[in-house]
Amino acid sequence: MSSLGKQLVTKPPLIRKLYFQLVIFGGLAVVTAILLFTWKVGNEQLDFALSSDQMQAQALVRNTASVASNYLVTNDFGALEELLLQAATFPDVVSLTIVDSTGNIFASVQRRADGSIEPIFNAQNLDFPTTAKEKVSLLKDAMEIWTPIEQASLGWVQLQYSLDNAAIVQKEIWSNGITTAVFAFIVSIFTLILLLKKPMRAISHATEFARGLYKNTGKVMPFERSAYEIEQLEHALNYASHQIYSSNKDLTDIKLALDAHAIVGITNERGKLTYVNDKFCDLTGYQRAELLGKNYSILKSAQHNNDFFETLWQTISMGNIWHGEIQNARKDGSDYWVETTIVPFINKQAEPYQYVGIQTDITERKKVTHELEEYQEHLEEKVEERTHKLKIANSELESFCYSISHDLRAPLRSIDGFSQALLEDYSGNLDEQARSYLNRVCASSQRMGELIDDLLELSKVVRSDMKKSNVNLSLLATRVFEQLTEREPEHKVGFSCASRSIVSGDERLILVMFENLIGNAWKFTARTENAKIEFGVEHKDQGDVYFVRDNGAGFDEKYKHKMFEPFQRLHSNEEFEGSGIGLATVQRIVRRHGGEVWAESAPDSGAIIFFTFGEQA
Amino acid sequence: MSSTAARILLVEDNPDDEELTLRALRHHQMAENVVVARDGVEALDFLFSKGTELNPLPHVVLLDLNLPRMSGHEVLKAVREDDRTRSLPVVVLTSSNEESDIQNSYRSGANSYIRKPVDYRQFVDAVEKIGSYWLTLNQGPIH
Repeated sequence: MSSLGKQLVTKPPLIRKLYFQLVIFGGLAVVTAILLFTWKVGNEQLDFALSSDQMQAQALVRNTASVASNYLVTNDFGALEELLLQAATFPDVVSLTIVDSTGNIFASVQRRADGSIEPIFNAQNLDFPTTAKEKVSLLKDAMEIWTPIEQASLGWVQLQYSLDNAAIVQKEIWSNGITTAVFAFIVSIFTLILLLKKPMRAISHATEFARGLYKNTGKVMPFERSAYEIEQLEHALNYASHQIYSSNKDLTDIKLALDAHAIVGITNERGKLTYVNDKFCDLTGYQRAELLGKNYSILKSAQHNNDFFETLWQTISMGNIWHGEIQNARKDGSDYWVETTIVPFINKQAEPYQYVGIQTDITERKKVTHELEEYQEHLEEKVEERTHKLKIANSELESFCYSISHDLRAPLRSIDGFSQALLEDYSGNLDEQARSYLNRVCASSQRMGELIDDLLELSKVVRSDMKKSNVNLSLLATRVFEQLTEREPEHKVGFSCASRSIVSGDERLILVMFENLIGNAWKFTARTENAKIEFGVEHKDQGDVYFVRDNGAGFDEKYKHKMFEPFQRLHSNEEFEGSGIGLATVQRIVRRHGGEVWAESAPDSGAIIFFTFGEQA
Repeated sequence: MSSTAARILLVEDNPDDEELTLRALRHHQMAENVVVARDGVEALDFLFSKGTELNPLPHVVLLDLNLPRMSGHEVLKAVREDDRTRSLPVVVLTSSNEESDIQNSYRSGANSYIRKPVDYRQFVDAVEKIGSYWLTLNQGPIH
């Protein structure tokens, strides 16, 4: 498994953290909204309370100033003090003071901590406003109002008015707001927890499921009936699961098939074995544990040089597939040959991260090939030897033929010549029988000379070089027939000939063939009336079959197997002359052209000689 | 060898053939002035000692091919290479009818090639024809 895969599987789940964050942020949002609302309402209520307080304070202080003006005109300080004490009975009054136009205090009352009101006599001078207008200012927790008496000609009334009421209103609003916020926070958190619980569990399950997909066995995730929100995710995951399962199954099946057929070894990017299949172990003789983690060079044999491995390594480290035959060594040191394909697996950085080697054991094939090569070499030697022997035999045959032609004929000529000389020079001393014997000697020696000549002709047919060209059989047959007619014009024969039949062959040899075939037909029709000779051709599926037919003496089919043997004659010399070499010559010529020859006949119904040529023109 | 001017030089190693050839020539009254050489060397010795006005070359040479010491082909070549004998009529008279023998003879400059027939009557006929052709009918080169 890749390192990325491991990371995915071992990383802690994010679901709990997400769940926590969702709940907290939901709660905080509710709280923030409530507090913002509280802040707005609080401020509004405070403003309202302040303006209400100010109106009450202003009414009080203006009324006091109006009443006080009468007392000031009359300098009735007792009434002034009484006025102040009476006015200060308003619960929110903190202090109330009347000063003259120069700032000297006429009278002042102040509310004590216990709520009672008392006059102050040693009050200090106060800073009154410079312009004769009412002035309102806010102090720490009170409102101070200066109101001029008769346009400040008589003095000023100063009122300090408590703002505790407004503060209480604000405080209450905030306290209510915070209480509401806390309550809402708690309620929202519980609600969120309850609402998110199922989807989160579903996501958690889906995550668990997705995390387990790498070891997919084709399982399907159960649906969370209530978690409609992530139904699509579940659908998608199930689809992915199915896809991964089929891909995985395909991969597994392919690996099974590969392992069943081939020797498979995988190395990392540095050539260290990370996987070997059973066949690999069986072939090398190593245990799997002995191989894993080792460099592939553990199997190196002495067969290949460094260049070989450098080229191989260069090829695959560039990301290219290498294919070739490698000889490796087993654990026991013995060699084996494998036909190898190395496929580099490339990562996202386009670098090979592992090399998969697929091998086939070709040790046996190599051995056989080697043997075959050796055998072939040997064969060539043998052929050469045979050819040499054949050449010697051929040259011996040549010289043998030469000596027959030259040396055997000389004594025959002597026998014939001197017998003739005896007959001519001493005929007077010889009786009839002696002359007859000498004539027989002459005849036999002449016949033997003819036999030798025929034999030589036959051997020439076999020995001579073939000079192939396109030969018109019809033309040659006609030429031979015309020559015979010229030689023996008294022998009347009808001749019919197939039109233009072209074959590839040696014209001289084919002419000799026709001389024999048509010559035979000519000879055996010597005593036939309405003699006819025909050269024809039959077009068969296997090729053209030619024939020479006559209506002459024919021959007994019983002996037709002997017809093509040299010196075999089916007629006596008295019937028809001949040496019995003609058809043997024909057979040799036809065979040299790759064809066959055969005969059909019955006595007195003529003969037909068929022949084929191996090569059609 | 005869000292008189030879008309025919017969180069023949086989005494039977020599006798039969001479007999055939005698039969036609052409046996006088026939010189016989029994091998190639003897033939060339004879020919190269001739060529003067007093010692003229024969009218024709009847040359066998299969000869001891020096073959008929070699004799023919030597004859054709020498200025004195270059135009001398040479008739090859042999038992062989090998195509190569015929070809080589003509290439080496033979004037005629005749195969000795086994039949003596044919042989006599052939010798008679050779004699009458080369000795009487043919106009030989002037020596």
